[in-house]
Amino acid sequence: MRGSIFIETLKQTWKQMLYWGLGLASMGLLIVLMVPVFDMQQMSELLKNLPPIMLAMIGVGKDLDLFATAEGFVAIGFFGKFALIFAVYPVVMGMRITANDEDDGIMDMVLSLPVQRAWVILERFAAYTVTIIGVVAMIYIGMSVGVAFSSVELNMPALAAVIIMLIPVLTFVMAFTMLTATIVRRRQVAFGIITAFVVASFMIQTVGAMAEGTFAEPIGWISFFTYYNAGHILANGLTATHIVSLLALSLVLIGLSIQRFEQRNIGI
Amino acid sequence: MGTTPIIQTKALSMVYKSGKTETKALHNLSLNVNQGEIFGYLGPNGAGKTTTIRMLLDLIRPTNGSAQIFGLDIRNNSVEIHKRIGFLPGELNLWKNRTGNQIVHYLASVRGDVQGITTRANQIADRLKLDLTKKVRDYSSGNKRKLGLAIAMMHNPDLLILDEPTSGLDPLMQQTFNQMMQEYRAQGKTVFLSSHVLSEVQTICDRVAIIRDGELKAVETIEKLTHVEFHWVKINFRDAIPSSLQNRLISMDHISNVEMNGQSVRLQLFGDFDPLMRAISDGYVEDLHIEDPSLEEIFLAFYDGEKEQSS
Amino acid sequence: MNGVIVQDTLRTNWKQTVYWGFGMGILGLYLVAIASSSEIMASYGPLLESLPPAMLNVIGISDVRMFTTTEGMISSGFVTYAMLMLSVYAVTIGLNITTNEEEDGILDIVLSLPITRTQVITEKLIAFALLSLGVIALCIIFPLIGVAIFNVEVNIGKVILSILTVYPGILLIMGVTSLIGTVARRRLTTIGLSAGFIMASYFINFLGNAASESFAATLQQFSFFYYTNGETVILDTFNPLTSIVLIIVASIFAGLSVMMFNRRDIGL
Repeated sequence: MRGSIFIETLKQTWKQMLYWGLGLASMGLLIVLMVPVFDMQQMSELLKNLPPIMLAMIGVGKDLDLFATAEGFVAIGFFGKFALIFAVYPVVMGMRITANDEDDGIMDMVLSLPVQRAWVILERFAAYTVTIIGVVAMIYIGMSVGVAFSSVELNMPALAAVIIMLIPVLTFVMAFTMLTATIVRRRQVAFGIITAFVVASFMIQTVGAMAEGTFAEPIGWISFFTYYNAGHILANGLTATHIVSLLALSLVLIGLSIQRFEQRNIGI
Repeated sequence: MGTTPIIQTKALSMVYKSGKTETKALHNLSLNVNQGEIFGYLGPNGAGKTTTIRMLLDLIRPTNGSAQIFGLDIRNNSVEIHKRIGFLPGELNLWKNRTGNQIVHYLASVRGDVQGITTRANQIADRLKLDLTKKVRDYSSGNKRKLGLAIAMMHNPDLLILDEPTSGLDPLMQQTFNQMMQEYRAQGKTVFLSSHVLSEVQTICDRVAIIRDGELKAVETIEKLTHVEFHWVKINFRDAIPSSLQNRLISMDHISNVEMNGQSVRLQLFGDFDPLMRAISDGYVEDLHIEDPSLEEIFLAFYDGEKEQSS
Repeated sequence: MNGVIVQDTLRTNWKQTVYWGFGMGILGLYLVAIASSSEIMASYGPLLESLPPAMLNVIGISDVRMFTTTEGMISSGFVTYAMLMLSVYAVTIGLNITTNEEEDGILDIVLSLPITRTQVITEKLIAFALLSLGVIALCIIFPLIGVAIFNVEVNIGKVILSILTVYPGILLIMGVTSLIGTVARRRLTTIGLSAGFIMASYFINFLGNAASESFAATLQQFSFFYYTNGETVILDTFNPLTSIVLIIVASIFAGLSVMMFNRRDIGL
C-alpha cells in the first residue's frame, strides 16, 4: 500500500528527529541568550577597520554592518560555525534509506514485498525530508523561545530565512548520501566517502573564504556550503536560484539513486 | 494437483565476476514447479539454491536465461508476483529493535489488508508458540525462524518460497511445520522449499530437484530419490567382537565398508536387515543405531545408479 | 596478554587509518598551499595588533599571531577543524572496541576463546590508540610536504606540536565512546550520546571564545576542544601538562569501560 513505508519510516524516526531538534534548538536558544554580552556598536566600529580578507576569514565577508547586529551575530556565529554539525543529521538519515538495511541483510525482506524499489527510496526519502523540516522548525522554535524569555530583540522573520535555507541544503546532503550508498553499498565505505565530501566542502568554503586572490578562491563553488551563506541570506533574503539549484540537484541525485538501485543486485 | 507451472525457469544462469575471477553460481537451470505441489530444492552448501531463490525474488538478476512465476516475468512483473508470494530467506535478518507485532504490522500495511493479515499472523504465531510481543533481539534463532514463517504465510500467498525453513526449529515445531505445509497443499497452493537436509524434505515434498555446483542434476519424485536401498548401521556389543563374527560380517553380501572398533562395528548395509540380524544373533547387542544415507551419498548412489543403468 | 588482538586489529583497520590520515592530510596540504600565497595576511599584522584582545576574542581570534604567521594560519585553519572532524574518526574506533561486535553477535565467538575480557578490550584500545597515532602522523606529514613543495617559511616544530595536540582529544573521545558503548551496548545509542558529548564540548568552546569575559569562559575549560586546537603552541603558552591530563582522563574512561565490560552480561 502506497505510503506505508513513508508512515513507518516516520514512526521509526520521530524520536531521533526530536533529539536532534532539541539539541540544536538548545544551542540556538543559548546563542540568543548570549547576545546581550556583546557590545554591537563597539564591534561595528572595530570591524570597519579590518581588511576584507580578515572579515572573510571570520565569516563576516562583506556583510560588515550585518555582523554588528544581533541577528547577524546569531546568523554568522551560529549557522556559519555550526554548519558542519548540521550536516551530520542528513548523512545519518541518508544512510538509512538503503545502506543500513542492505548491510544488515534486511533489504531482502523489504524487497520481497509488493513494492517497487523506486518507491522504497522515494517514500523513505520523503519521510526523512519531513524530519529535516522538523529539526529545522525546532531550531527556529528554540531561538524564538530564547527571544521570548530574554530582553533580546531579534528580527526573527529575517532569521527565519537563514533557518529555512537549511532545508534545501540538508536535503541535498541527504540525497548525495543516498546516491553514494546506492553505488557503494557498504555502509562504512559509503560513510567514509560522504564524510570526506562534507569535510572537504566545509574546508573549501571556510578556507577558501580566506583565500581571496589565491587559487582556492575560484573553486569555492564546488562546496555546497557556499550556497549557505548565512550573512548573505540575512542581508538579501532567500536566493531563489540557490534554492532551485539545490533542489534540482537533489532531484537529479534522487533519480540517479533510483536508477542505480533498480538496476543492480541486492546483497552481493 | 494442477499441471500449470507456477514457477518456470529457462536456462537460468548466474556468473559472479570479481576482478578477473568468474564464479558460475548457476548454470543453465531449467525447472518447472507445478501448482499445488510441495517442491523440494536440494543441494549441498554452495550449490546455488539461495542464488536461484534470490533470482526468483528479483533480488539479483540472472546473467542469462529467464524465469516466470504465475506466468509473469520475474523482473518486469516483480511487484505483481510479490503480492502472491511469501518468502522466508535462508539467513533471516530483521529489525532488532522492533517487536514481532510491529514488524508484522508494518509488512501487513505494505501489503494492504492490515486487519486480516495481522489476525492470521497471530494465529500462525499461536500455532508455532511464538510470542509476538517480544523484540527481535530477544528471540532465539528458532523463534526468529518462526517469526519468519509467520511473516511468509500471514497473507495466505499462493506460493511459498522458503529457504531452509526448519533450520533451528525443534522436532515438535518441525512436525507442526510439516502439517502446515500439507494443509497448504490441500488448499491447492504451492510450496517451493530449499534445503541441504534430506529429512527436511522427505516427509512432505512431492518432487525434489537436486542441484550441485550450480547445475541441476535431477528432478524426481521423493519416493524414487529416497529409494537408495542402503543404510549405515552401528552396532555396540557388550563384549569384544569375536574374530569369527568379524570375518562373517566382512564376507557377507550386501554389506560393505565395515569398520570395527573394539566392541562396536559400523557398516554399510544394502537391502534387507534380516541377514545382518541373523549374523549378529550370537553376540550380545547393547545398542543398534541406523542412519539414513547423507544427501551426498544418495545423490552419488542415485546418480551413479543412473549411469549404470544408462550404460 | 599476548598481543594477538592488537595485531589483528591493526591488520583489519589500517586501511581506515590511511583513508582518514590521507584525507585530513590533504586538507592540511591545501591550507599550506593557501598560506603560501596569502602574503597579504602578514601586512595586516600591525593593524590587528592594535585591536584590544577582548574584541579579537569576540570575533574568534585569540591572538594576532594565529593569523599573521604561517604556523598560526595552519593551526587556526586546520588544527581547529581537524579536531572536530577527527572526532568522527574517534567515535568510529570507539565503537569498534566492543559495541559493533556485540551488536553484530560476534562477541560471543571472541569471548569463547581462552582470553579474558580485559585482554580483549585492552588490546583493542591499545591497537586503536596506535592507529590514531598513524592518522596524526599523516596529518603532520602532508602539511610538511606542502611546506617543502611551496617553499613556505614556517616553524616546523610548532606545526608538528600543534597538530599533535589533537591526539589526546582523539584518545579522550575513543575512551568516552568505549565507556558509553560498554554501558549502553546499542550502537545507535552510543553514537547519539558520543555525538552529544562532542557537540556540547564544541558548543561550550565556541561560547567561551565568543564571550570570553563571561561565565562561558569558565565553562570553556571543560571542553576538550579548548586544549586541542594548537593555539597554545603557536602562542608559546603550551603546557604539556594539559595534554598529559587529557591522556590521563582518556585512560580513566578507558579503564572504566574495561571495568564495566568485565562486570556485565554480553549480548543482552
